[in-house]
Amino acid sequence: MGLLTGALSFTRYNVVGHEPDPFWEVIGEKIRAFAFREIESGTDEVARGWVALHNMLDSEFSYASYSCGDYLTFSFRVDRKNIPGALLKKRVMEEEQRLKNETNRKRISRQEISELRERARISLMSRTLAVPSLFDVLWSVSQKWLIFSGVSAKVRTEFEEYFKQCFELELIPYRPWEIASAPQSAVKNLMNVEPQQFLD
Amino acid sequence: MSDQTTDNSFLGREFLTWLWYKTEERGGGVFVPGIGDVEIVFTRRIVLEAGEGEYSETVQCQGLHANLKEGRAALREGKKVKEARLRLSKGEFQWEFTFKADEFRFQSLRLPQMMALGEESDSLEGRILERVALVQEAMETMDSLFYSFLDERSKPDWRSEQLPKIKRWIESY
Repeated sequence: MGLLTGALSFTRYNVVGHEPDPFWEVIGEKIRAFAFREIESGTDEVARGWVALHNMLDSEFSYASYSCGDYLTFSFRVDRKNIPGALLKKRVMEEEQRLKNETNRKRISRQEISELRERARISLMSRTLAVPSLFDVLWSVSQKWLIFSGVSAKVRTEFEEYFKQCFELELIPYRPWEIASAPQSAVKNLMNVEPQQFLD
Repeated sequence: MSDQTTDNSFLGREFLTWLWYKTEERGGGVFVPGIGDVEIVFTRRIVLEAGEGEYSETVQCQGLHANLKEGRAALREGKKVKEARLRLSKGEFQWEFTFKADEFRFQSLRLPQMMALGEESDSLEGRILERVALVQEAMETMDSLFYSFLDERSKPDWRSEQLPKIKRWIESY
């Protein structure tokens, strides 16, 4: 999003749940435990984890580099291998043709096609490089809110699940009209409200 | 967390539509409780919509002044503001962002020019804290404006005085 530079697009959350104690110590351990690790197996499609805000290669967090005043700041790195659909299709067709020639058959079974597709996928996956994506996280510890630079539904869900798995805390998207997000003085105004037309 | 769940998401578009009216009521100036006077300008891009999903009808207006005429026409058809590019000014500071009503979300938020704060702001931490303070100020301003709208909407004179004013504003172009 450019927490450090440029324009920002972000999703707001409330952080809900029982906070660990002692907070900073436990959180530091959890961040390191869920830090980014490179894709190990050639056939793995995706790798996720936390990295330092200013350096996607830093998953060590020396000197608690995630701590910034009252805030926690780090990035969510997702490395993903994408195989273009057209490439996979071509490879499967080639394999189909090869099998037909080898076995001298005109047709091959659905089961065999399915196996060919999986083998082609694995073969292409092992030769494809993963592309990294980075999303910044800013977590206000005392005020229990967080902003995340991902805005697409897919990456938000991925982040929410990873965050919960790591910190055992829930992220609730912030909407001021939700009673849980509203200050006490506004709660009564949010009960039983009906949509309003501005014209008759 | 409260167990009570409500589907009040329609308030997002009502709020952004009300905010457009509010900015023009006093020529851009809007009073924000707890914050004071700010200036808000709807600028360049505005999207209005009626209905949801496959039954929705959307109007997009782009350009410096295009929004006034076409946007107002869309309001007259019962559409509400779904997203808009806003410029928020407080004293010397100026923020610009696209605001998405349905998710109450900021997009492409440009922060005010940083002040020269000396050596501290040269450090990474200083730079982050400075930017975070500016982001938070924008969020708090929009939150306060929303609750100000909600408060106005809940007052006894909403139907008798405020709604007729909004209606006159919509019909005045």
